[in-house]
Amino acid sequence: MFKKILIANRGEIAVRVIRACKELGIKTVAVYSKADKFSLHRMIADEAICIGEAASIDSYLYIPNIISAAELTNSDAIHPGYGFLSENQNFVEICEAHGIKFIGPSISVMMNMSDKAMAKKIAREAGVPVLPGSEGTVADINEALTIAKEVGYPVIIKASFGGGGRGMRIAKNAEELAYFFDIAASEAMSAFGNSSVYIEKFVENPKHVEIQILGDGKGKAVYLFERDCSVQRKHQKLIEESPCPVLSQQQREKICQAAANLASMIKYEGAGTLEFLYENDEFYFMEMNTRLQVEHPVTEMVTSEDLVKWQILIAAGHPLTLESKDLKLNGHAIECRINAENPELNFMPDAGKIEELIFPGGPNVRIDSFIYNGFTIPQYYDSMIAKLIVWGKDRNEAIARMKRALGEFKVEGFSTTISFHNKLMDNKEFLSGKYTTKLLEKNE
Amino acid sequence: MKDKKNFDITQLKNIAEDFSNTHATSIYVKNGKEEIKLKKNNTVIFSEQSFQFENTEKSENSNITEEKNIYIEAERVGKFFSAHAPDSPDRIKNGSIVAGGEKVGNIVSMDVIYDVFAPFDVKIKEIMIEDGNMVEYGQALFCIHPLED
Repeated sequence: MFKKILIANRGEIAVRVIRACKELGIKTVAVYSKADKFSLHRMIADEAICIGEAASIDSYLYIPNIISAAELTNSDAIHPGYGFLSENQNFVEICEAHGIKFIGPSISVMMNMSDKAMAKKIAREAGVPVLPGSEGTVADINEALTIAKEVGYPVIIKASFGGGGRGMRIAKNAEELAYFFDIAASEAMSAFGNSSVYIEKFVENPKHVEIQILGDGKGKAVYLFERDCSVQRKHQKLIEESPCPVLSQQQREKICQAAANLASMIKYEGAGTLEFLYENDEFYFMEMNTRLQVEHPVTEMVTSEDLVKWQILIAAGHPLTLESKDLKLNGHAIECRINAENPELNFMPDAGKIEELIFPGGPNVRIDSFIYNGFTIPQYYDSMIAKLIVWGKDRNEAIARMKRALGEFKVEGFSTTISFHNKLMDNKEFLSGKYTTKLLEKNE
Repeated sequence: MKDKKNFDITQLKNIAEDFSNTHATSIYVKNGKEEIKLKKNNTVIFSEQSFQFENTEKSENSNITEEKNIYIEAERVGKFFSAHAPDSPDRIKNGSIVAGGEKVGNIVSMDVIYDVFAPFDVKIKEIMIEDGNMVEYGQALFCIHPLED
């Protein structure tokens, strides 16, 4: 087992990983930027090292200082959390070169699955349903037009190495495709440093359903069921729940098994997520995230498994003793992402000092956060300040509990999305469970 | 506040004055259709003693303290070494005079040696780090006194 782990991240996920390490008896090293001097992760770790200025590029993305910090503190392993360097192949390579275990998949798996066109090809080989479209990267507009004609309009142009909606364009006809193709490619180049794009059939009103998997890196993989992440605003998830309220047991087992088969085929190591679009009883593979997801707690609540501990145990060489057949979905969990944003002003990010803070409590309520009374939210990073997760015997109880918990949650000093979540818990479409990724668009 | 159509200058002045006299860092006032939001640019005042949790952070860093001390700080995470061997006559000591641009130490990071220079002509008031010790970004290495031209 590792003796000491450096957590190359900040905010709630750094706190989450430190907590798992402490429970496993592993010492922790926090790294922090000058803007995070008073952040909770820095204070609860066994050691803390300042790695740079506030801007991420000078601190949380600055590999030399992170590797030096790991070497000088004799850290055995680095947990990357999510975002920042969690899917950076160079970082994984440098960790390996310096004898530090990167807690996550191998470079080759990460490389294949981060190339979305390649990931789609692998998915097809593993029997995972994919959207009709290009086999891989589209070379030019002529190839794009040919494929679009085959699969039918509308089509979506996506960056091969992208995410978060950037480098993404929808074309309803050949003229729009010709117009948007170069725009998407240049946007992909400026956002991700690679202009490769691919195209696929555009699914107009889908649900976003994703499958959580764990793999031991030797060919064994298990699924930990699905999450419904369809409440999104501009491709950013706001609410996640597990299980997906509209799936039948048969559909669930089929798609979950397909996801585990893919993870097994590529000898995936650690925690990973396969994201799907779901419409008219059909699943279409979108991409695989080769890291821990923000919304992992909902899976933990319905399976009673600690995903971060499993990541660490697998990376340390412990056998993956879980079996899919033994894992049971128990009850229902919902997560609301509490952001420092003003929902009345088009979700404009806000920041400032926390004048008053009251976290909700009671049975089956979980808060993953890094904020405390008197803390000043730095303006340099993601606006998420807390994740509120609740569990219920069924979906109705979970929703009622979430409403109760949101009512108790008080943050004074800046705007948050608490009121937005409160309203959404009364939305008829959300309550029906049949909502899609268009839910917020329709209610704007 | 009374429901008028607009804020008048006196009202705005009074709100700003009242706000500046409180410890609040933000205030929101609505008057009919008009609304204003004021925020103070917060300076975090956080005593080290008030930390609930302790860790093994090596030092407290700042550019300038109340005594107007000036420091040469580490620009990277690594291991610090003095510019000269302990028995060298050129070894920098408390009280040494160092010319601007002269090397005062090295930081070894990922097997690469980076030089640390005096920013201008200085007198070394205090050496704040021992050879072979780990330094974090921004850590004070030398407390210096600038020499006038």
